[in-house]
Amino acid sequence: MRRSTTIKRMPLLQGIAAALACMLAGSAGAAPPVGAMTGAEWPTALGTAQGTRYSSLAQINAGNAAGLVEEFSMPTGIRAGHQGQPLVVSIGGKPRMFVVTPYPNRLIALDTAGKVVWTYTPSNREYAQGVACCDVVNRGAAYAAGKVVYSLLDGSVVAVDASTGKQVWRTTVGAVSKGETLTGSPIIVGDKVIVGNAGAELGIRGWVAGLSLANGKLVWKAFNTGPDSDVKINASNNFYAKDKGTNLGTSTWQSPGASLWQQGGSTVWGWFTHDPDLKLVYYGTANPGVWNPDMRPGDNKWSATIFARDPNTGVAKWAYQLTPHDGWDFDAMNEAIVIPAPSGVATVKGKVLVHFNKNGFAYMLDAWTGRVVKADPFVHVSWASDVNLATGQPTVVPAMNPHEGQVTPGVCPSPLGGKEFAPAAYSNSTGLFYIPGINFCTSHEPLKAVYIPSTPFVGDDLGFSPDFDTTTAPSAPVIVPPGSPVGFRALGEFIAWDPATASKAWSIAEALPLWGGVLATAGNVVFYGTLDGWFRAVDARDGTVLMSTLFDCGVIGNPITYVGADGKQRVAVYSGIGWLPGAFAGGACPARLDGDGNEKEGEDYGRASRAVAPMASVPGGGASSGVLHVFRLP
Amino acid sequence: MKSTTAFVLVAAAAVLAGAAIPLDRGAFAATGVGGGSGLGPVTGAAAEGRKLWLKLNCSGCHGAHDEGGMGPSIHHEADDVAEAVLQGKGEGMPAYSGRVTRAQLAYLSAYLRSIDTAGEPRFTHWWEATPSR
Repeated sequence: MRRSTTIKRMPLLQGIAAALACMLAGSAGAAPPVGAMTGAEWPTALGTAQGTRYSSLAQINAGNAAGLVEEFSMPTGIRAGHQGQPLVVSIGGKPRMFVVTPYPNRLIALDTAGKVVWTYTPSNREYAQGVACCDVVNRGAAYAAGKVVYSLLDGSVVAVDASTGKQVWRTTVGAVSKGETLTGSPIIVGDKVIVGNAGAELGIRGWVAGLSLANGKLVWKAFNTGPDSDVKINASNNFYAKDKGTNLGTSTWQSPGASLWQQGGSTVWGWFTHDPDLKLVYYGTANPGVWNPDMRPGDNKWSATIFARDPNTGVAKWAYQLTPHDGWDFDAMNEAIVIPAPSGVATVKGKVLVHFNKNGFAYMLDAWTGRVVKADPFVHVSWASDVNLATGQPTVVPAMNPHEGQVTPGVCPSPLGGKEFAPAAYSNSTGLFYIPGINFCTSHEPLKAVYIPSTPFVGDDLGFSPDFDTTTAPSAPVIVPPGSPVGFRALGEFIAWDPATASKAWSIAEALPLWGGVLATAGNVVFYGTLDGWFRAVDARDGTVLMSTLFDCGVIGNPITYVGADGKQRVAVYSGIGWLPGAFAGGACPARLDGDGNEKEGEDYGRASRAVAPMASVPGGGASSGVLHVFRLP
Repeated sequence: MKSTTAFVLVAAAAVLAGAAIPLDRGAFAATGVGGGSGLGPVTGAAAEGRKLWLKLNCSGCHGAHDEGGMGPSIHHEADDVAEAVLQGKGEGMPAYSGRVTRAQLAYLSAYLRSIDTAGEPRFTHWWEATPSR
């Protein structure tokens, strides 16, 4: 544990950001929809079941956020990437914080002064480290009925007594020997814990499962590929004709002589949301297995799909496939945020899902039917011209379809997506969504691939590029490096999105792709972190940067807010990006070795990035561990 | 990615590594698996090993050019990989026993020894008898 004060430095691009911030705060006219909000606690990954990441707390506000100081920080002792967020709930009348670490997935309980109360260390098969495609991360826990519930990398789910730190139950639901891992955060709906698997790059088959919160027993399991009985779907209930039919989870995998739906990916490694009024749970599925699209002719259902399911039975209410026959790694696992339907938007039951897909389109769906109300690009999209609202089909640009052995250049967004897994937020105050955006493009060259269990089943040669097309809508901040004849869209772009006009209200340029989530508050402050180590508080209305503090490592975690034992509001976030995002940030952070080549302290369960040239000024890498940071007003 | 899969970002890292700021379009012309430095040898033991490196998905974990990723870089142990390949290792390396022959193991070692030398094969079309790319 160490204490430190906030370091204030002028971020490299702050001036550019301020210049680019348009003063458009929400839509004129009707009041914005009032979505769900948190209060003193933060009991689930996305704050609210609806996934809004919006807090009613306003002690910290746009008028005083510049004075935020770091109250304490706590190293977790582990060097891998720290995604996710802590929970804060009241236990025995006192607020308690729960931190899930990356592998080995310890659970650390703290009081709100930062004192460790207990640590739970599960057994966790070491084999899982090597089959986790993208670092040994964990996206957090969920709390209900005295239990903290979370996933282990090795395919297990555990419930831990929030008071004592003793394990209540443990259930193994994934086969790590086949390449299945669990990295996503569960959601708790009533007496069910709902989880999904990860590993679409290892030729596994995606599923979601409902477990008993009381004892961990498997209640239901629904696959995302395969026959209707496995998928628990009657596709005649789907809104669009393209998604209707029998056993589409097998018939749309038309590979000759093979049944690739069995290696069809479509995992569930992101987020779940739930609407108590509609009594539905929502999630998106990953890319289809084997990236080479020529190996799997057809739509490849139900990859890149949003599902609405009954949380008690797992039966699908509807499914909508956003990117049929994905050849670009456009998972749909990003969060589907539930809010009341905005004024003028006709829906069956008054609720919409808002979802910022990797494919670059901002979707608004009728939450009861899956009908697409709107779909507009929030970043530069070159692979499709639009989404046809009558058919639900994206209009794919034929030249953007990758084929085996051929290079298809200029595909935007890249496999990083216009937005990655880091969750967005919705503000009741402004009516705006806040998106951690990414501007990258790619060339794809699909390659033949052979399925070998427990190894990557991919087949794609990628060439990442900044987006040099700076004129195609939507507009974005442009970076022109000193001495360079050309500019490109800022690799990271923090976007305030107005759902009423389907356009950016303002955005902030960031030097590196944004991989950290967003918190919005009733104090009109929005918080986010960057890969190059900045943690920022900005004015939710116009993007004015109110506070920036530099950590020893970058941020891929998601800020939260809560009330401490003293009745004062706090904000907490992790730093530590691990090896994989380190590929864009000058190397792993925390690094394994210090500047003299000596092994640092801290447990190393990830892999070292090879040294790469930094894309921006990055912190010196003094950290030897991921760190929990907690902020308050002085 | 998950999308952000290891192979993806290792590829990205390889590209970005060559992109000293100031940037220009040419700096990003290289591709991930191929590396953009020519095919290198397309016949011989190292080339046969390169085909296996891609076909057996070694590249998915250890990197398109063994730069590391989900798994470690191993070319500095080029002559000593047979046991790990055949029997697997605890931290996520599956056993390839029954999938590779002794001759193929020798090819893999030849490929690993070639890495970072002028004789390193860099082609991607492993399925072609004489790779064209």
